Amino acid sequence: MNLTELKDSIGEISHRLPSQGPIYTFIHHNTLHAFQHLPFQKAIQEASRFYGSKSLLTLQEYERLLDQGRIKRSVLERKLALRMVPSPKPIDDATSSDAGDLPAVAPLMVRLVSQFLDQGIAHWPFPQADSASFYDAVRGLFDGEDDLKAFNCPTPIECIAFNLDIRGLTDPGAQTQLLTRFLLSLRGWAGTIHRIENDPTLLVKARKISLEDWLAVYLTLDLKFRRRALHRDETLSDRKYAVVDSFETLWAYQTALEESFYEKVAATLKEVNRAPDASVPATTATPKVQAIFCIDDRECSFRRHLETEFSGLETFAYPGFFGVDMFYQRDNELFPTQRCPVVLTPKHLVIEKTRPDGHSKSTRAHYHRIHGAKTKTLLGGVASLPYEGIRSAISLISDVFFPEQHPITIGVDEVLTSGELEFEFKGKHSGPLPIGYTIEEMGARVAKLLRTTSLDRKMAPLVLAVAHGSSSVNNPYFAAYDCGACSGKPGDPNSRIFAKMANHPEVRKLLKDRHGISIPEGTWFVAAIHNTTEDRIHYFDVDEIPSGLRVDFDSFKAAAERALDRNAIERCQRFELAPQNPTPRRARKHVLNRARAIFEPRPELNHATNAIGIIGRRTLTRNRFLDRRAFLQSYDPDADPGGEVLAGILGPFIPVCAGINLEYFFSRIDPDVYGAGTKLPHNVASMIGVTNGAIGDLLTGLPIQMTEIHDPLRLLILIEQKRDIIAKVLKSHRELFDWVDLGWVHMGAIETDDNGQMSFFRWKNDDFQHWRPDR
Amino acid sequence: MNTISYLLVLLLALPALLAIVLSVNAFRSEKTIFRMVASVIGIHFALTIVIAALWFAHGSHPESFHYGDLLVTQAAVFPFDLSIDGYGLTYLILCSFSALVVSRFSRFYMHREDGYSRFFASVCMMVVGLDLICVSSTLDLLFAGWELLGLASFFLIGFYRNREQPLENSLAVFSVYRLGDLALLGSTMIGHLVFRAGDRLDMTLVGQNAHELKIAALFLVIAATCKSAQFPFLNILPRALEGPTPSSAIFYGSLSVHAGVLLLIRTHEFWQIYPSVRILIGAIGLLSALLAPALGRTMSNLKGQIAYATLAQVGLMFCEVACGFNRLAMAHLVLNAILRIHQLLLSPSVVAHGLKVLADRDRETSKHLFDRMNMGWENSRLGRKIYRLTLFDFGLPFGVTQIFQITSLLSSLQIAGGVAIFIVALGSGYRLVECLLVGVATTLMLRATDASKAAIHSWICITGAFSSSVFSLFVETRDHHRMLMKIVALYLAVLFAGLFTLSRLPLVNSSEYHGLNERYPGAIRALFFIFIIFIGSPVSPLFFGEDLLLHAGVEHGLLPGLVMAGVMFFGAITSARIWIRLGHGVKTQRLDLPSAARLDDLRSGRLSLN
Repeated sequence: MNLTELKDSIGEISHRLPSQGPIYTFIHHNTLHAFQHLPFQKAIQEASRFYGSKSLLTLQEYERLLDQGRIKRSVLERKLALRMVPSPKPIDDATSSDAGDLPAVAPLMVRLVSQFLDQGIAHWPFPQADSASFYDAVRGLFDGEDDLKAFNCPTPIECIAFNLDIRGLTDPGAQTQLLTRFLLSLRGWAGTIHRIENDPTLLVKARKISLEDWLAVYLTLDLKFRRRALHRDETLSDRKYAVVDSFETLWAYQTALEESFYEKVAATLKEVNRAPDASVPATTATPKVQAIFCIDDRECSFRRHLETEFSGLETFAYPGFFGVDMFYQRDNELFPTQRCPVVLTPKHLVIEKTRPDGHSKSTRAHYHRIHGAKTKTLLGGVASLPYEGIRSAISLISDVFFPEQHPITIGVDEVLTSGELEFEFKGKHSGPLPIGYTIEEMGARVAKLLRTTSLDRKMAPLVLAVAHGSSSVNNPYFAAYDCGACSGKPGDPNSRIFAKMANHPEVRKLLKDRHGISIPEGTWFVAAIHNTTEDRIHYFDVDEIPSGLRVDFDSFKAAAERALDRNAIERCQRFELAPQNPTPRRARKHVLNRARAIFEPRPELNHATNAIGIIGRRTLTRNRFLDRRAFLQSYDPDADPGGEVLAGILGPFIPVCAGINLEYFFSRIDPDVYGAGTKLPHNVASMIGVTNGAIGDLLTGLPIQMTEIHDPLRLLILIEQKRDIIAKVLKSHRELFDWVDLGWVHMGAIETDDNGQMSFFRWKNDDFQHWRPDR
Repeated sequence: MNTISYLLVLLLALPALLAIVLSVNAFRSEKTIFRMVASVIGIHFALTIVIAALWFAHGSHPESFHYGDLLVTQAAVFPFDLSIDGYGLTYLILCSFSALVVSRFSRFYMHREDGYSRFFASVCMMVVGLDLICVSSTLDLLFAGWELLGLASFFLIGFYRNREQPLENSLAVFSVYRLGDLALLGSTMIGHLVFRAGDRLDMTLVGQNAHELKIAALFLVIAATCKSAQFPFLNILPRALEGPTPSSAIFYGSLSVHAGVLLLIRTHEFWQIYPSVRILIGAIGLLSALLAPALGRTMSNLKGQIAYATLAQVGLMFCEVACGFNRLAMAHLVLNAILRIHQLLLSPSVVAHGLKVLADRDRETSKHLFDRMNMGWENSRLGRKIYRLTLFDFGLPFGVTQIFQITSLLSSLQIAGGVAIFIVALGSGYRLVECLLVGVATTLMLRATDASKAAIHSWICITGAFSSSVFSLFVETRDHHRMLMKIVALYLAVLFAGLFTLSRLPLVNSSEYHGLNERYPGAIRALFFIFIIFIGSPVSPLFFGEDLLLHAGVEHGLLPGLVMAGVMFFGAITSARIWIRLGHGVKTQRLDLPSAARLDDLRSGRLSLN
């Protein structure tokens, strides 16, 4: 292969590497993104062969689900009867990997790359890391070693070619195989390098690294150290896998598991129709308060409890960035963070002037010293021991026996600074980005949200925008617990900005003039954030609420507290160590302690058990017990005969929700290959990920503690709309169509006729077909 | 005998009992397990406090208590004596405090983890071990504690038995600890030779046996160096951080890694009279204190960094002890242990914290945050050279590439080693038969280290090595006392049990992991018991045997004694390797997927189609 072909070949393989960025920007995505062009069933088999992973659960696990009744026997029999036994298509050898065989030099490579990419743990910087590329920096390090001739090549790609030559590999197939083997041998690191190569801004401290650098160094050093290490290095080698046979049978169990649950969902939804709930507000009356929540599955139960506790309430759901797509930066931060779904690229920057946070200086300094360099040097250690040792003894007792006293939680609590927001465009720019939005831009965003959720029809005097976030301590996965629609960050700046926009007199004027949406004069928008771990709610800018609305606001607040009590009790049922049948007080204390205990590997269960997405009116789901398993999105089918609104919804909805769903799916299926295994021995490496032990591959995916109670179900998206409209939307958006058509998500339609009779349809073989779940 | 003496026995008995109960693993419920652990560790903590209070009330002089003799032979007496002094008590309080904190931490942290009971069993085992080290008044008992501590460590490093990396590292650490165990055993044995009755120190004897005691003191230093991972074993500690975070914290942040210092302090009367030993300890400490921080500074993973930070301080403690500042070293030890536990337990929070610091605009002004030691010369030629040295851990034995050389070197020396020993023996005037036997024993024991041979092959080598090394002792004299014969018989029985067990398993080598635990749970369990008994752990009847046999060897002469020690060392490592690699390492669930035939059985039995 010439150099260009070599580059292409590496690029080809690189698609198959796990694509996970640094752990502090954890964003859920489809683990098998590289196989997404294939039908789901085929993709999981190919991936299983390629990575040496499980394609589905084991038969024993399915049998257990059958015994628990999670798989209905009748459904399973149907599926087993349908089972075909096609001959599996053999895949060519070039793409299958030899996962068991690990180069002896791998531990050295781990040390090199983890120290090069280090974001602030090591006290001695890697020589030249700030200026040179990985290849050049390592070359500099091994300067003067005569037996590393390959390092004489000026560029990494030439070095790779040299290495292939020196190994006598001329056949392109054999060359690709070697490159594949090396890239997959430490695929966690390779995948991270690939992500960083594509988006260097993921790193806080800039590093120049590419897969070519990595391979060039890897191949060169491999040649040097293969001779010295006579035995195979077993410290890092992968497990051996048996070939999973009987895929068709496992697949029957899997689909039976899915259908058993989907049928239950349909039955639950139908019941609404049969017995209309008295508490549903009559369509004509204006509710006292309206609240917009994120579509997140964790808000599903909270909304239900809130509606029960506050009768004049109508709730809506919209992705938790509230249409405010932005880069956001607090003025004490060095760089901005993205606060909108990853599929969008924000074109605006918002800056917040922070007020000092609540943490005392001494507490903060204590943690700096705990993690910092000073206590770890020889003399610095001696000097700091008398104070730090005693301080640690006290902290240990308090952290372990009185967890609620823990002084620092990470996440939502820290952002509750309510500083002044620079969200109005005043002609200032930061780089290419304008700081703030113009009135027109604000109007467009507010209008889109109001239209989509059908809030524009009638508006209560008090409208709340409730963002969500999470807080935890001692948890490297903290970013995975926040709002998926805000790129893994808490959504409070978004809800605040949205409320401010909607309260802005000029925006309201513009909405009326240009968009035909009139917000009643007395209506006031209030931002809030729900801490999903601690079950607490914080309201922003309360002092700005007009005095006339205070009474409503206070009664809402009281109801919200009661709803949080009930929510905490509901959540406690899922925690094995939580008190059974707790009083509200105990339940709240329990969830609070979870967020604050340094010994709690499961601060909350996050998206575990997510399985459905429902896009439609709240009347469809109101008062239905969906067990915190549903992503809910408000949508008024009647107002959208053309399907444009639906297309706008599905655009982010499918990638975000299915990304979450599939990451849980695969991490649950094979916790050791797709997931990160158990969290308990994890060690933070370079601040960009976790490894097992001191030297190991970066672990991607989710740890067992997040997925253990998850049943691997693909997302069933049910849309309340005429099936031909949905089909039209899908067929005109190829990127959405593929998700559905290839089976990465299930799609269903709910049509309600004039008598209120519901009929269900499921997407199958290129069209919607009647689905009778209750037969 | 007073109240304290009874309390001391209770202190040892409670965790020991629980460790045994939990190892039997009759409890499925986490709640039951934890209730037992909480009460035992809680009572243990209370007992420590009460003992300390009583001791202070009695005027805080060192006291020792004689409870009786465990074993009396011609060669030695093994008394059961406990004692109490300020240093032991301080460490005891540290130990029960840490155990209390870590148990409570693990109650929730370990929730739903496989091996919940195994984890607490190991923690209890560690507590017993440390208690013994703290309150034993004879080296025999101290040695029992020492071995228990090492075993608990070994089990917790290899806690995750279906991944190879932890198991591999546990074997590496075990080999170092085993070296330390043997060194301590050697020193115990010399104590027996000199004092004949345990080793309640009689300082009048010291002067007469200066030479032997100096060797014993050197052995003590080796034991302490191994357990505290000091030079040249510095880089074994990061490898040990494979278990769940709390176990890493309690073992390698605090209790286990500081045990070497405690050993030196508790035996200081033994060695502080020899300036050369003190210089040696000081030199080891100083080297470690200088190298460890350099290694730590380039570590980009937090746990490894904390491990090296701990080692640097332990190195300083060695220096302090060498200079005779025992109290200072003890204070240093306690503070360091607690800080490192805290740092390790909080290590997962570094991401969030670090991100905040990195993003913080004001970080330039607050100097103590993540400040790099900006030397300015790291980009220079010399800087790069030093940096490269740290990558290879300065060439220490457990660096990224070295360890494989050691094992391959050893197994390539089989014949040469045997011949060399043979010649040396011949030159020292042993009989030809004896020379042959020790030569064969050496060759066979080195052959056992070659993992690429079938496991049963290695086992036969150990059996052969053991037999020939024992026979070499019996060539000359005929008046072996019965005890020794019994011990040899027991050893041979264990070795043959091993052979029998291995013959029931598939013929596989022990250089790879086979995960036979699922298919042959009984046999792997048997291998485990054989391992535990064979290495002479304190729960094994061979605990005294190890000592007596080595004793007999040394009485016979230095060379047979050394070969005997070598056989015990390599035998232990080999049996550990065989147990671990044959039994574990592969997620067997996957290998055992039902075949299509079994599927059909299942279906026809449970589901009726049509």
